[in-house]
Amino acid sequence: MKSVAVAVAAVVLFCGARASAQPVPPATAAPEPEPEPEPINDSEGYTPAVEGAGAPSPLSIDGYIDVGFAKAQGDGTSFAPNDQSIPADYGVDTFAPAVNSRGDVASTNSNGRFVNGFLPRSAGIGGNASFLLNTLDLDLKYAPASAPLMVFSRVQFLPRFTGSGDDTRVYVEQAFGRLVPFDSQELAISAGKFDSVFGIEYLDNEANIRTGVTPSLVARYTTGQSIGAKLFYRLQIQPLQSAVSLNASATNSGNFVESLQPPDASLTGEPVGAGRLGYELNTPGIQAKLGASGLIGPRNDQAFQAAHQKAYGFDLRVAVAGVYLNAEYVHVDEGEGGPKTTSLGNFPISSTFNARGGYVQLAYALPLSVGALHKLTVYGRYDRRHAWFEGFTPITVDRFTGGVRIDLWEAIILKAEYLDNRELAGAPTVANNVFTSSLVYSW
Amino acid sequence: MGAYPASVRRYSGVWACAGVVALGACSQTPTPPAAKLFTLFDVQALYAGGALESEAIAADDGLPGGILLNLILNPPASDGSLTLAPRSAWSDNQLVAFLTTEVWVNYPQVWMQPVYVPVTHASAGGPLQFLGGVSQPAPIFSVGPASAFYSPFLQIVYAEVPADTAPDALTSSRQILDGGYPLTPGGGRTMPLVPDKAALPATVALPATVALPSDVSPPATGYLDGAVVSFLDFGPSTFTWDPNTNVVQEAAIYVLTFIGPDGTVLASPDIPTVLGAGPSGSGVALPGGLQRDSAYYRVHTVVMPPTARLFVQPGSTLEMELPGDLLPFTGFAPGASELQIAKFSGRVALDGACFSDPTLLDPTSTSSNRCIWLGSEAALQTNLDLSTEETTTITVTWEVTDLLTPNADGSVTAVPGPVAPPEPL
Repeated sequence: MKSVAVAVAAVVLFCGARASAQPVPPATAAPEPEPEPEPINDSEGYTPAVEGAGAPSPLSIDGYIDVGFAKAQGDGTSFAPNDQSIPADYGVDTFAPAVNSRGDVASTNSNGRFVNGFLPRSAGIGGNASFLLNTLDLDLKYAPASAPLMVFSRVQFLPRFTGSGDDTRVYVEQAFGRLVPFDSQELAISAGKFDSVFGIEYLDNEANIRTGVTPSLVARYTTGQSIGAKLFYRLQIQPLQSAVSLNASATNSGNFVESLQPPDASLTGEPVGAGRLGYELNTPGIQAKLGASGLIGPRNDQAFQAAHQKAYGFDLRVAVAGVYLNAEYVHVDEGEGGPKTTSLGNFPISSTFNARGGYVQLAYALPLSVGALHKLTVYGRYDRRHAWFEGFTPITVDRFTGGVRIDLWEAIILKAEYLDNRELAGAPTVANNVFTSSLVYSW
Repeated sequence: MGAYPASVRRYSGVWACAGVVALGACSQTPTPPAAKLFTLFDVQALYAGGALESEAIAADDGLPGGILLNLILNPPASDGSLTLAPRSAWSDNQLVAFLTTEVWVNYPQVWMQPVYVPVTHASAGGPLQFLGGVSQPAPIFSVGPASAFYSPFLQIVYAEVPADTAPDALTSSRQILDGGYPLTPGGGRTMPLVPDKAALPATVALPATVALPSDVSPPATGYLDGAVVSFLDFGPSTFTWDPNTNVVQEAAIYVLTFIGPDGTVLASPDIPTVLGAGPSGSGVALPGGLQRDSAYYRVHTVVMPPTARLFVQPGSTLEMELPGDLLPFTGFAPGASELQIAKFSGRVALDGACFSDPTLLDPTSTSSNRCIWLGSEAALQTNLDLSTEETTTITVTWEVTDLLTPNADGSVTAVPGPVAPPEPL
């Protein structure tokens, strides 16, 4: 595996093209990081342009292409070959062998064993080394100068091998309008399909933004988009170089990823509320952000309003001298409901489920000006997740992720990382470590 | 009601709904029914929570009256001990005793789960034996009864472990799978987990009180996630499964119902149900050459024709237990022998007119007026318009334990079905 990783990293490195970097963490020539912009929707990927003289056209077309190369151990799943217990996805972590920023795994093929919908999307490569076109992303943004309005859409093309042929899914990940009614206030109201408001990892959803390649083991609970309405308000406290913010939403499905809870319709007729209360410190030398998030409402993978899901979490981001620390803890409880429906299909039962987990990520970004090389980032992350379905053995898994990221010019990012997945308790030990890499072109 | 009159509350509801219309809420999507599994642990918990034995589960799922708690477990004794409740049914016109250990509602299918049994070679090249040299192994279960996917239908998976493995060293499925031991799938066995203080019944009451010398062993112990658990072993060949999906194949049971004068559907658990034939391969030969019954059934209800009558001896326990509105649908043949009474009590005849002469009770009678008994699935299919049949969303584990054989003196002898012990491969 190691030799494959090195070889692929080298190939990817030498295949680099020209373009410019997407700075996350921000790439600057100065040793001290610039104050990280905090857009109203809390994500750099779709920040509206500033209006006024010299402002670009109100319509902009952005996007990226994420080309991957990945190799997972075993058959690309977390299913133990000799385990025949049912459902196959209840006693293991099917999300562990992730290969891209979307959290798609190498495989979810259970070889005929019944599964009950606790599954990620699959890249369909099994245990084979394979190139992937992870995402072709197309962003349209319209921000007229005449109105405090921004309209944004993000459509993604996702070519995948399904086991019975190729299939390209067209996915509307975001589509919303955002109104900023008062010039004097950082208040924004959005309606449509938009990013999560829970925690901080959703900020890294897109491959052209994420420091590494793969999401954490708890991203499945916090990074999903959904349809509804959102309110953001931030109050600057200049004397303290601080700000407090509130980001709250009412949506169909809350913040679970779409493979677990479909966002495009409310299955219960009752919205899911979510929010984050944040504090940030912005000084020339250090940036620190703290947040507490919560989610409550009916689980949207079934139809009973009484089947509730509740979650809370805490997050921390610190940036100082090129070092970036991100950490998050998530606590999730779901009650038992009716027959389950996810974006992957229909399943008979939505079981009582509980999860606790989090991650700590440390990254160091070294700004460079060597030809095309703008920045070199090394990073490591530790994830841990403890979860159980009612009546099933609780499982505890963790993961060490280490990787390197190279920013070339302004529009090419090369990333390569290794995921060391471990089953600590409950789940059978399986070979499901992953080497994966990503070449991201942005425009 | 709070501080607002009803009209205001209604309007507030309208506005609340209007306020979230933009979010796609307040839809009229029909809510599908929830799947529910009731195990002996759930019934025990219901009793502990104050439920009465006359209360029912699955009361709104197609079976009139649902399934009373005391048809599964008798109320707990003062020391907390529990006794499984035996019942009787017709299986190919033969009365049998059975136990109920699980009830599923709104499950289109249930699945077989693995149970691991460690085996080893006592000596190099010697035969396999259960770990520790015991005759009754302690199996290692993989899914607990709190899970919606718990199943008493288990496939024995033999794990060949080193001979020096301590007998109590392996207590979880993770240990088995992580150990990398050679695994050999074996046959299926019905082995429900049971509360620690659960016991098997000594008698079955209806249609007559019969002692039950069942061959089912008292609860034994195994392991689940490192903890000791109790289970009953109803033996092999009690179910079959789809080898591709591990879905357990179901047989039918027929609950016989009558239509009252006002059109009400009348049913009673005191009328023995009729067991359908199990899937091919799910039975073993019982004494007398009969096929052993399946253990997994879906409940169907079948309306009896207006002429049908339940054979009930006046003054019998069965008559006293039947609800009053069913008594008009009973009948008796004055002069019937004790053997006939024992043989036919609780059985439904297609036309009660045959009760006029005891000789007509014999189904082998050459008279064209002889009784046609509805005591088998074949008889139901042959003699009834099964368009009246209703398939419920209820499935059950019914473990047939004994044949109830009538004697000439009117007594009934219970003949236990064979329960072959597990073999070390």
